[in-house]
Amino acid sequence: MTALLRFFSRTKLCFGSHALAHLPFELSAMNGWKPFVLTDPPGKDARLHLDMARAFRNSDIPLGIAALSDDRPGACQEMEDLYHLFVDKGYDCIMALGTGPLVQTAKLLNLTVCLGPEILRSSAGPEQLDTPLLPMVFVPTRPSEGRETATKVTLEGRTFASEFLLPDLTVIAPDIMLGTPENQILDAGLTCLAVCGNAVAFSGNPLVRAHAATGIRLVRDALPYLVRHPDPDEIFCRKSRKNRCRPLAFLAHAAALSGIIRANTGDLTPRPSDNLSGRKAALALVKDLKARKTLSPGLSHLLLLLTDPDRYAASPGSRRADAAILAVETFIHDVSGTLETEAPNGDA
Amino acid sequence: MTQFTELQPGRQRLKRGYLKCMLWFFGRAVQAAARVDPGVKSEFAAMPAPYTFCLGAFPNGPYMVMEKNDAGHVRHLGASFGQTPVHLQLMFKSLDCMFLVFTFQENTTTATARDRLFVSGDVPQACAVVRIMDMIQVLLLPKPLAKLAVKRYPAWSLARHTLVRAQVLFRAAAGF
Repeated sequence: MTALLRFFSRTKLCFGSHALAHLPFELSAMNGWKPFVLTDPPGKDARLHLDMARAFRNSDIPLGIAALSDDRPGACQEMEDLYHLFVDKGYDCIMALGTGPLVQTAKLLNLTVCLGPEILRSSAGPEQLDTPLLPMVFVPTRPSEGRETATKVTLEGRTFASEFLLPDLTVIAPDIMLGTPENQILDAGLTCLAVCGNAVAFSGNPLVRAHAATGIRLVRDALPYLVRHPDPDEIFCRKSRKNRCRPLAFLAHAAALSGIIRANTGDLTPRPSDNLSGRKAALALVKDLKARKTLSPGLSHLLLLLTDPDRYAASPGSRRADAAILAVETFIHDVSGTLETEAPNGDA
Repeated sequence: MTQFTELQPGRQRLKRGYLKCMLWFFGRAVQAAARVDPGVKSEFAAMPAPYTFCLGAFPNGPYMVMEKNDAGHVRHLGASFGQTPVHLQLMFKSLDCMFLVFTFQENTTTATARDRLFVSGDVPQACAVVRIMDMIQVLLLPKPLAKLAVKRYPAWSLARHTLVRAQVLFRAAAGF
């Protein structure tokens, strides 16, 4: 008998060629008619907000674009400034054009707008929130580690958790991801591998495992190509540009899935890899798999995901767990060129 | 400091003009084909009467409105709904999405698979409208372009490819 399980994902994924053109419709479907766009310095320098504005032509939807700067004041002061801009000009939804801290800022702004600016000042604010928030759209400008589509946000040491902090829509437009530095691609891919590998091996939730399996396949297909074709000059050639767009979109998709997986892996005890990223997280995954391979019901499934069905079928059942760990190690070695598997908490 | 700017996205007049022209001629071709082409005729025969549908782009058009009246005649009502109740709206999510289809960069099937269309109304009738669109594109366009516009180029009889096509083109140009 299947145990009771719960899977929650309010994030709709929209991706592919001309994905940004869907934004006016998707926003209006969420009753968002005046979006407030937050962007970060790299996005502003690349003039990605103009790509965004181009997607809204013919829609009569005005955009307020706030470009956060590097010399940012304290989080609370910045949030108050953004809150006043948002409220005074009557915006009704938030779009985060960027990754990492920018999305955390967007989530905090959403909290501040919905719960009032006093939440910034109170020392003991509500930590588990049940109030619905404003529609939020996440448009990654490079493959990320997936924390953007998670349910937690931190402000000056306080952590707020709410299912409503998940973006309502993630739009993955590969065109705007070209030019992502190689190390960020590698970090994003390996972090996704760690999160998804962990879920496949240890989660008892079939929906989480299905999402994780998709994430691993996407990383498996995308990361080796991106690592082997690092030449940034290639992006100026139309065909190479198109070739690079596809794996970048795969990786961004995997990152969004890993965020959804993080939000739904309540049945897992915390793993060493949870707070790590990149190569450290991948090595922590290997260590964890080795330590707990007898307890892992889905470890042999990793072998099927990372290799091919023939190799899976050729491995005896009793050896599949070891073969799966070897496949993970080989993949990490192939993409990042490291064989070291020592303690991840060190300076690996 | 946070830099703030407010943008009022503009309009793409050329794209809109091109699509208006295409939809205008396309509508007249649907009206003509409903009289002479057996495939289009049978699709309309299966629709309830009266029935009005529109094809357009969200949120501001352009639109093409077609009507099948009580007598079973199919008419192109132009680019605005007016007072007519519309039973089926087949809309592209943006003008850009519609432009991709009407410049044959993407066929209707691919556009549907890429989630570029949404329907407000009965799904069976929407499928019938998509089939009609495909047939009209085959009738209007030369084969190399039509191959881009539809998923699979149909194996029609020579008479349908030549005589019916000529009739549809003539009637669409003449407007009856």
